[in-house]
Amino acid sequence: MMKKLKNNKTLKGILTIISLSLIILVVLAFLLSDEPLLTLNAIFVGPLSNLYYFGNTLNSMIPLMLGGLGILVALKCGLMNLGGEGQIYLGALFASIFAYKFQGLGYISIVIGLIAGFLISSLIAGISGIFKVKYNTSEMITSYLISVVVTSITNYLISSPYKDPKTNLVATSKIKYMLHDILLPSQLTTGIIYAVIIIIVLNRILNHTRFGYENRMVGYNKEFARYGGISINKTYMLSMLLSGGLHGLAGGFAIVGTYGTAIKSFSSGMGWNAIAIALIALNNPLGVIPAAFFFAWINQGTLIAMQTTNITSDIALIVQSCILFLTTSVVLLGDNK
Amino acid sequence: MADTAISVEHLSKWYKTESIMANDDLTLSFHRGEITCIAGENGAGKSTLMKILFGMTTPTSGKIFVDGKEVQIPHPLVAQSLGIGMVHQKFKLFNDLTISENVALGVEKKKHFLLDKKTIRKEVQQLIDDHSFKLNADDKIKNLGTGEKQLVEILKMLYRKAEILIFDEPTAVLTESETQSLFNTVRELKEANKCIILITHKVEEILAISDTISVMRKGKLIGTYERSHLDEKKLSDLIMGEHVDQVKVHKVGNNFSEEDRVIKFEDVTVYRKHQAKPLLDHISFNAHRGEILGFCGVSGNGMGILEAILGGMLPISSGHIYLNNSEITNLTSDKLRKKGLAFVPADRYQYGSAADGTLSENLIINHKNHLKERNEFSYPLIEQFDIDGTVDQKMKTLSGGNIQKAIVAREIENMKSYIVLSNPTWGMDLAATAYIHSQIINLKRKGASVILLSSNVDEVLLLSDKINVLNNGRIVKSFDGSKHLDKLIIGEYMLGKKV
Repeated sequence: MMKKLKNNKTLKGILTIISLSLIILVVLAFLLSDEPLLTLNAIFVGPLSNLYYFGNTLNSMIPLMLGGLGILVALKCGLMNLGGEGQIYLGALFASIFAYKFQGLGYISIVIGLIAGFLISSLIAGISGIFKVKYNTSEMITSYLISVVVTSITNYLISSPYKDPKTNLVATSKIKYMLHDILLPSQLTTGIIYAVIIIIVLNRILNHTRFGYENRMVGYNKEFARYGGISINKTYMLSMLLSGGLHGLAGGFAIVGTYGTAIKSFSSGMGWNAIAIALIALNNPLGVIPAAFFFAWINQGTLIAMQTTNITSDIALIVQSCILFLTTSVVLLGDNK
Repeated sequence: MADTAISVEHLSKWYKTESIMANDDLTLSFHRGEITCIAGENGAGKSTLMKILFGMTTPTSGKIFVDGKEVQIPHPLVAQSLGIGMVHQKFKLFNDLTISENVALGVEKKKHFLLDKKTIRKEVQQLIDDHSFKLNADDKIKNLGTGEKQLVEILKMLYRKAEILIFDEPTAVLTESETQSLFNTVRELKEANKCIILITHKVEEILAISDTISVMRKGKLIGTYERSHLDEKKLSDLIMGEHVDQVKVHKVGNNFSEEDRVIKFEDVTVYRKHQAKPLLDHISFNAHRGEILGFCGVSGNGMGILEAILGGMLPISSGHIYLNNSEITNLTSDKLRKKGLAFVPADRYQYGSAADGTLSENLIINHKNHLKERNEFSYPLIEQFDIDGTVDQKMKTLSGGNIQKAIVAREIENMKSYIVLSNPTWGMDLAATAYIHSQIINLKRKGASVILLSSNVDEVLLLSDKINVLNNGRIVKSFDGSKHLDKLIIGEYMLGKKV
């Protein structure tokens, strides 16, 4: 593996992108903060300074990893699922509704919630898959447009029919059973273990099963796949369904692990970050782990910097936007497909 | 000898991604007041040479001289400033603009920052009258016929004061009478001391129009000849290639019964949407056990279509196809694969392989349920077919010949009762070609039905028991491969000179 990464043009591109983003971060800190050194210290060292921050950093990796994985699955067969925002959000809502409804069943309600999240987002992404297969509509356009609609519908569902009247938050009813904490006082739960297991399983599926092979071949060369007797339509559908499902799981884990309730707009931005994470994961499922860690670090660091100095969280958004923008640059990444 | 307008020395073009030597060490010169034809089959490298001269691609090595001075032509605009003009096969005209607007587009005269339409119109009409073209500068392009549009393209070159005029397959789109009037125009331009370069593969036309003929084959210049030194037979022979040393093949001829039949095509016709002329026109044939059925034709005459149908990549418009008496009409490739299709496509990059996949991933595609054993599966194939590569090597790092060997190896391994081979030895060296040929003969000996499509007449002649010649989407002639056949006669059928 390491040998493969060595002298890799793509890896160099990724490192360039990350360095450029960090330089932007440093420049912004000097421009926006009264105490730039303190701010930078908070951002870079803060997340590692104690167990609480470190645990929170790891915790915020969970949805990012799963979302990134969802993007990566589709990317491998040449599809770009741009609907992550809506899929994560709606998946989270369904997870919260179902886990709440079935909380009489104890911890099984967590599993039910996660499955519900997986299925609904799978379905949403599947619509784009059907359009792609039937009418050759660009899945990028449809998944994005559907996501915009889904986000609005989810906003409505959270603020009206499913709003918990007992709280002032615009959020659904808090679920009773959640994943166990493992690094108190931080928010980290056993979710991180399950997420890593999912990544390992998916890595195995993508690299060693027939679906993974067909998915990869369609991505490498669609015409070759067709010539070799692979059904491109079937592969596209499965890939989109799995991609959506993983986004649903990302939202679901945020509910059953961290929040316990779907708060209005709580997942905003996660879908976009997932895309950047998948792009810098070097097309490797295991690569989403370090990629998500980097994003979580910058996020957590900025949150700490907000508490200790006078900057706002926008600085993290700017850095993340820069990374997303830069990762789409063909020049930096080289011809990587 | 007339004075040299443009010449090239040791010009080579190497397409790295396709590992094709499109132009191989060409040294050529073109003269004023002379019509030079570049003759050759499709893929001989004619178009590449023209693209280099017109700045649409740059040579890998070699020099270009215009009027004796060495030049670089990195862009068509540079070519134009050097006085080089080109009429493309596909016209580059705006339908809603007038002739004068099209002609002046890009080099418009301006007056006070505005288009000086009056002057442009006058100049273009003057040019039309000078050459006594029957055109009106104010007519819109959409109201013109094909031959007239071509005249507009010629006007564009003349308006830009081009002295070196390149015509890329100019007659491909013209009717007989339009061709005659084009030739008259070209002759007039020659009288005006222009240097004219014409690309075509139609023997008759070459002989009718040219003063000098340069023949290219497989990227190489075979030779430059005076028109007076060539006749039809000699030129055809030069274009199609000389004899190569042949392997002895036992031909069985046409002695097959119904029971031996594996594949049957019955009136297979393919139309493209909104086109009246079919791409394949009522094709019927039988392929038998122990037979090599050869198809040859110049590309664009239905060879590619037939290949795509056999491979399940293209549906047919009407007709029936049977495999061992069960109908397989319009089954897609995945279903045909399950029925035992083995297929070597002509395009090894677009269809035959996945460049980013490893060699073993490429070899295992017909055995998708045995992915885990793909390395064990690959070793014997790599050894048997002498593929220069390792199982984990990315396909794109293999040479073109080795990629082809891998594809042939994979499909022969997967063969059940029949195999479709399209240009199986294209771009391979002699040793590899001989090996593939011996494998194909082996398959026949074992009782397989082999359908061989090739633009290489030598190959088809060498191997086939029966030869069908495709022209214009029809089987125009069938030959018994066991009889002695004259390559030139087959060539004439391929080129549509005999029907």
